[in-house]
Amino acid sequence: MTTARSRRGHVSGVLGLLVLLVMLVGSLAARPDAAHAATLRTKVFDFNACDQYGRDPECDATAAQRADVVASSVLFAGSNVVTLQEVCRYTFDRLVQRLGSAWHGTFFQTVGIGDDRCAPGARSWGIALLARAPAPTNVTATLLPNPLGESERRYLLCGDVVIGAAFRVCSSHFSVKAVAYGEQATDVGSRLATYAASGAAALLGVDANVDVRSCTAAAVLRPLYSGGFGGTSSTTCQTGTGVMLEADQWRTGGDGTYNAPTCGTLKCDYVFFTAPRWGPDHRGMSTPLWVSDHTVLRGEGTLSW
Amino acid sequence: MTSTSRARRAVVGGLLLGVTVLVPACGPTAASLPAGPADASRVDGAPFAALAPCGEQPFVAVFRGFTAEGRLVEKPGSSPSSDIYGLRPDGSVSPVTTDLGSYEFGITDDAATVYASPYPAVVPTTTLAPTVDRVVAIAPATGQQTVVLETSDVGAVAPAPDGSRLGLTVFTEASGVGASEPVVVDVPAVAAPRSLTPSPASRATPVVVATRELTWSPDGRLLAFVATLPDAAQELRVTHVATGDSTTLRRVDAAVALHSLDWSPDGTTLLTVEGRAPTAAGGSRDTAVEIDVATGRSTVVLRGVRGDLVYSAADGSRLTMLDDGPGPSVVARTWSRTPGGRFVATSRATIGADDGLVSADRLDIPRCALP
Repeated sequence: MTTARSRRGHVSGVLGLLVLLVMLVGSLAARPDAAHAATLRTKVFDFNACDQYGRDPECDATAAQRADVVASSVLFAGSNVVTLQEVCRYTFDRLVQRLGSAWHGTFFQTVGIGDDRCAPGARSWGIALLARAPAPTNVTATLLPNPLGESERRYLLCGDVVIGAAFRVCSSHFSVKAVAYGEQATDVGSRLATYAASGAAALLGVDANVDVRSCTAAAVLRPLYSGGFGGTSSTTCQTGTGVMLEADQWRTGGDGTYNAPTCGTLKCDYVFFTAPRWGPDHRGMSTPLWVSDHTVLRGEGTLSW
Repeated sequence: MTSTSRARRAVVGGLLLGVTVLVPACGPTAASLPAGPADASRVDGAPFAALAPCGEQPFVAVFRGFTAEGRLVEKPGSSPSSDIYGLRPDGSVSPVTTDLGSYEFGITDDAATVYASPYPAVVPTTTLAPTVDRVVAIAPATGQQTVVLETSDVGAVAPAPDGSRLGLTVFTEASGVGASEPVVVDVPAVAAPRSLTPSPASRATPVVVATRELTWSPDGRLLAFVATLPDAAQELRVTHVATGDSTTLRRVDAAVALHSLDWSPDGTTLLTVEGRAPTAAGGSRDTAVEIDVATGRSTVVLRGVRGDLVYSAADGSRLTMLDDGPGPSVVARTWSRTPGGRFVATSRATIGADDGLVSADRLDIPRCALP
């Protein structure tokens, strides 16, 4: 009995080890960063694509050219999340095709257009998000405040994606007028704070049409940021009331340069991570792409779970 | 939540003619500014691009101009708003329109009339009815506008050299598939626009989903345009206006964009700019290409250009374009043909600084201004 019990115990131990081994292998396979089993380096490619062929001489590339160059840039940088603004449905579809079968996303038409900027695609234009992950679920397009009664409405597009862990990816493009983008920033900040309060993770790529490099203008972004932010130096000039870190926001131990311009001399584009879930090792890089008058904002952060 | 709905400015195929409203001789509907101040900025003291004055007409060219203010007044889909501007012989600039209407336009060969269509208002995504667009005749000297045609979903506007007809692009949708196609209408509009697209039964060329860059041959018999195909390739086509017969002169794949199109004053060649991705260092790889209309043979005549290029001499010996300068400014550049047939840069001048222009394109030079 002793021997049998011992053998059974031995077998149980081996089985237990095997189970643990299988769980470990499964866990590693599910989590992209093997060195840090419970983290994901989230590499976000946020881009106002300026899909305006024929409408804006600063963005004089066809939708097909735009999709192809964006795809190359996304793959070259090893991004795993893409958020887009000012993009044609055709460009989105072609981009998904170029990125390969591991990528999925969702597009939302924000306005009907009356020109051929999207040719050969339909006249469908708006915002989008993609991830190197299965298709987003629980996709929503939330109408944002419209205090000026503008005929072109603004939306917050979000979807849940799973890259090791589940997190929510959002894309938005605020109005160009201060009264409107101020209310929209407040609304979005509130929504994401509510979402993060339960411990959920969310990121946002947004063209806010606000220049955080200007301390005065940056005030309207307080509902989005947590901690100190704003300005062009290593000292900040605003304090956030929100729950998010921006990829190119000043931080202790950062690269020393923050709030790089993304549209001319201004910073209009942002990648936000909900602070409780992404660590303080975020960074942002702004790089030009010839198809748009905005630069690409590559925002990185480490998601933990 | 992924949207597959299409823009709702569509017309069911065949309705185009039905919804057209003919406006043979309406009175003026909007007064714009008269031609601008005499002390507007000069280029360099020389006649602009060596163009000749057109009799009593104030302008030797018109173009689309953007100001910092206009960039903040967005049209549907975040497009910056623009106005039509005129260039005087001395290189000074004056607005032809001042309502930030983002017009599509063209000028007649005598420089007496600019035909134009403003960009439509925002279209709710749920609207099913087609919109009706205006085509107006604008007197450059006064800015006075007269409606000459109301029809659905007008895109490009190109007056025939003698101003007797207009080439337009109109958007139609049938069975859920939309396309903008070339049409022709007489001025005054005594009949509905006539489509230049072959019927499906007789179609020998690939289906076109978009038409751009309409330009008339100097004799007014042919209309050339850029056609976008379903696979994103683009073709340069020439259509005989009387018969509708069409010829494809050049085809480029989706990696290339045909940015502009201009007919040489003698009618023998077409000039286009082929836009490509720049070099790794950011250098332009765009090329200006001349295509022999009779043979289809193409020749690269200029490399590294950026923008819309047009002939600016009656013998085809000069090319001019408007380009964004350093910072917020507009630069006019001119090239002259060498004996070998290539073009070399001969002048460069900032224009429109006093008018607050930050960018410009779509330069259109009437025949009367070509020396």
